[in-house]
Amino acid sequence: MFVRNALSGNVTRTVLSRGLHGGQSLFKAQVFAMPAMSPTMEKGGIVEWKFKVGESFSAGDVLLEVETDKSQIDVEAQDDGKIAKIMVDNGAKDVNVGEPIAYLAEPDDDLVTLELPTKSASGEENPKNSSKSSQKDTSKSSPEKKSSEPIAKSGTSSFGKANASQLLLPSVQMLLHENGVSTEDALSSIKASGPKGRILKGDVLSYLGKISHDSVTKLTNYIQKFEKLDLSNIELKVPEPQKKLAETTPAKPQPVVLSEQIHLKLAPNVTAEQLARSVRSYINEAKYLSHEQPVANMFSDHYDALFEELITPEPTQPRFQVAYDLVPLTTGDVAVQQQEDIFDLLAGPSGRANAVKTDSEIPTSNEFSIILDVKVSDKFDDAKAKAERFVEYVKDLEISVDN
Amino acid sequence: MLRFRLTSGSSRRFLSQTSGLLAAKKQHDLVIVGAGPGGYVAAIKAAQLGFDVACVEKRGRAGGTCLNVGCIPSKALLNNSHLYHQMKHDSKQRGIDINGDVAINMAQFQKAKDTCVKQLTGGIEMLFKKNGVTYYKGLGSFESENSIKVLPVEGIEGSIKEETLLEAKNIIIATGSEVTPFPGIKIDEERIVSSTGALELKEVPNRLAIIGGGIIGLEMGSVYSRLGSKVTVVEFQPKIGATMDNEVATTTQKFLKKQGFDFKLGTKVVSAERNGEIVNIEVENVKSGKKESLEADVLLVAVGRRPYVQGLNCEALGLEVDKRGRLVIDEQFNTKYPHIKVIGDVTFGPMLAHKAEEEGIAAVEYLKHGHGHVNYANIPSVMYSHPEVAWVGKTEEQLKEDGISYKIGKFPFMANSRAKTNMDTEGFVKILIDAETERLLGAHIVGPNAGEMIAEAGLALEYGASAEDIARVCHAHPTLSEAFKEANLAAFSKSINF
Repeated sequence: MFVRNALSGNVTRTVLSRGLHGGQSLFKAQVFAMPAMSPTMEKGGIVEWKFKVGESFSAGDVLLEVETDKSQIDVEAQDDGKIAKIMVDNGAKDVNVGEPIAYLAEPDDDLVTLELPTKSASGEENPKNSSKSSQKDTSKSSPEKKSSEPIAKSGTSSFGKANASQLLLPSVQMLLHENGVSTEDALSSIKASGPKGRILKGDVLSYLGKISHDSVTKLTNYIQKFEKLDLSNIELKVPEPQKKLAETTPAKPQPVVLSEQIHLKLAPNVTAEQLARSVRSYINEAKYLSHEQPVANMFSDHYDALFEELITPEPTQPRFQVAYDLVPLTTGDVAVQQQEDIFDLLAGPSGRANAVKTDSEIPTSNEFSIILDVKVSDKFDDAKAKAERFVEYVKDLEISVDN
Repeated sequence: MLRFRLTSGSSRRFLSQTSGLLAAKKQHDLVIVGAGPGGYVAAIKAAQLGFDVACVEKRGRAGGTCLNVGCIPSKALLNNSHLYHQMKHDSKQRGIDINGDVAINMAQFQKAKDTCVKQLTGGIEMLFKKNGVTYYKGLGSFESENSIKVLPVEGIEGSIKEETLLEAKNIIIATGSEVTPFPGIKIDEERIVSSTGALELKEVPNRLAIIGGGIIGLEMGSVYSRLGSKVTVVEFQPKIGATMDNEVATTTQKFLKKQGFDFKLGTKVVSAERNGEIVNIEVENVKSGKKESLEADVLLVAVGRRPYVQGLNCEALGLEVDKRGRLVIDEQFNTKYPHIKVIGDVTFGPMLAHKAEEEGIAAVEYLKHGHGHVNYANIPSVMYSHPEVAWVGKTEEQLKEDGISYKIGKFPFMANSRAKTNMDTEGFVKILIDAETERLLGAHIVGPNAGEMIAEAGLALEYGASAEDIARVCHAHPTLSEAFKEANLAAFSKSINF
């Protein structure tokens, strides 16, 4: 320990209050216990008290310097106050955390008449401590418990000054009356944990020492935690599809596929085979044509066939691949129509059946659909333009056949 | 600074896309997208606070899911089906003989529901007029971070005639939620229905199967069970009632079972398919893996709801979305743009109409005053079965998990004089308080009128009341609310009448 002590020269500062958040009695001094300067600290030494008994200090003043096995730490006061009694003097070593080291009072307290609380409460909490001195007062002093904790951490947010204009809750009124506390005293000295400075039953119980102050703090913090929407741990949805596409496109471009569905209606006397044959030849021709003609405007004054040929890379290479399916159209309607036909036979002609019949007079297999997939090559700049032109050619088919 | 530049750049891009379109332009202080319970309340509040407000709704009729296909129509069906059930099965012992037939007229039954929906949604439009909110019936989408494009929607009454561009200093997104589909099950709203279709059934199904034992499922189940359907609820979790306190959930399951519900808990649905006029459902027990086939005339898929932003074009602004599709906000409902706020189902928190309303008010107050308030620890839930189930605050399980020591006060309606005279004594009030400070932490009610009674718990929670505070308030006699008082008495001391 001594070696480590010698090594560590850093002096850190920690803010400590006197633990005024308790519902302490107005006329009692507060036990100031050995603070824990780190979670693992069990014992520490007192290097020097910066104030003498009877001296007043204000919030932020360094009260004393504490020595741990790691460093020397200044302990600051969080509230204004006065040193009522120093119980563990300068130079003391191995003082247990939580052991009372001094009594603090309000700045305007009279030290002569001041009641010094017993150490019993603190002693209970730190059974390792053998109580050194005993005071005459035997009243319970639960607020003191607080001072044995690293007060710097205990949040003040959950408590506020009691709202002076509040109508006291029935339970609060009852408790105050039973214990002889006036409303004025209650409003000025009980810290409120309720919303908007409302004194709750728990606050009075804690003030009266019937329950520990910690339980009020813990509960209030717990309740307040859920008053807000929990927006921690939001797992953002990564805009995957878009991002991925953007990332992968430059590396490995997806082949562009132009898809088109073209609807054909045949003249009555054409067979499906005839149609298939002529569609095949038409598509071949369209393929040839759309490859043959350059993308540039042929009617432009600046158009030069020879120049176009020169700048067109590998004119013989295909710009796209064509896959198509010629499907006879058998829609849901057709099925219904056929079903209805049976009913027609059974039920005789009705208005609806008639309508269906006129529809079904047209043979159902004279409608076809060309499902066209054109895979555009990614090697040539003009590939897409030519592929689109090809699709346009095939689309012409639809119109011309329709007509 | 950088973000500012980026956004101004992107707005230029938006504008260039629409240049050439001659859209009508309107300017407002605040544009709210969505006229559901969140949106319409925010709109009215904002107008009252002096904003020039516009509200955009693509459904045409205001009120959102809640009024049109949610809370309101289902309550109409629940109430009337309850009356029918009482007349049919509960009148004799009360000394009411019905000489004649008590029967359901499904068409009128649905019409009664539609009438109140119509009145209520129409009422909102009246309120808009009264408060000076400009109402645009059309599809709203982001044109830029400061403008909303509204497109006419075909088939809705009073749709705007032409595309309109609304420029706004502030925007509130309140687009709500939609039914979560069940993967692999195709909803046709005829035989396989969502909650929307379940509200519109033309006849009472002999067998109604429900996927999901949450509030929506159990309420719709109640409606048709009372009308004579054999109801089977399939729930993946080992308990029903979603976030209910376990004890309450068990009680709820018991009384529903008594009413004829069949529960398959811890059971997952493998597939469901419509075959003509019936639906075949394959289910599997999660633990044992035992498979079973169910047959139903109607299958209701009620597995929850998910945020709805379709067509809003919020991707273009780069608004962040979490993995469950919720728009990301901060504590003041702000997106990454401080002038675009999000409230209600489309963002975080429970998907409840009253939560959205609170947020709507708070969001507008943030705009006006710079602060607003929603207490998320105090949002009640109600299930309108009979008896009703209502709760607010913490459940016993939550308190156990969070290591809070608590005390329980319970009072059965069996010991409440009003419940007794009503011959309606099922259920209890259960109060959870902190063991030391006796502050109220949660209230759970199964019983007649639980939904109304829970308001008292909410008030108590909001003001940090202890059980004693509630018990010391004079409650009228004889009322059901006395049970609430007695349960509080029991929590910190002893009840008088039990």
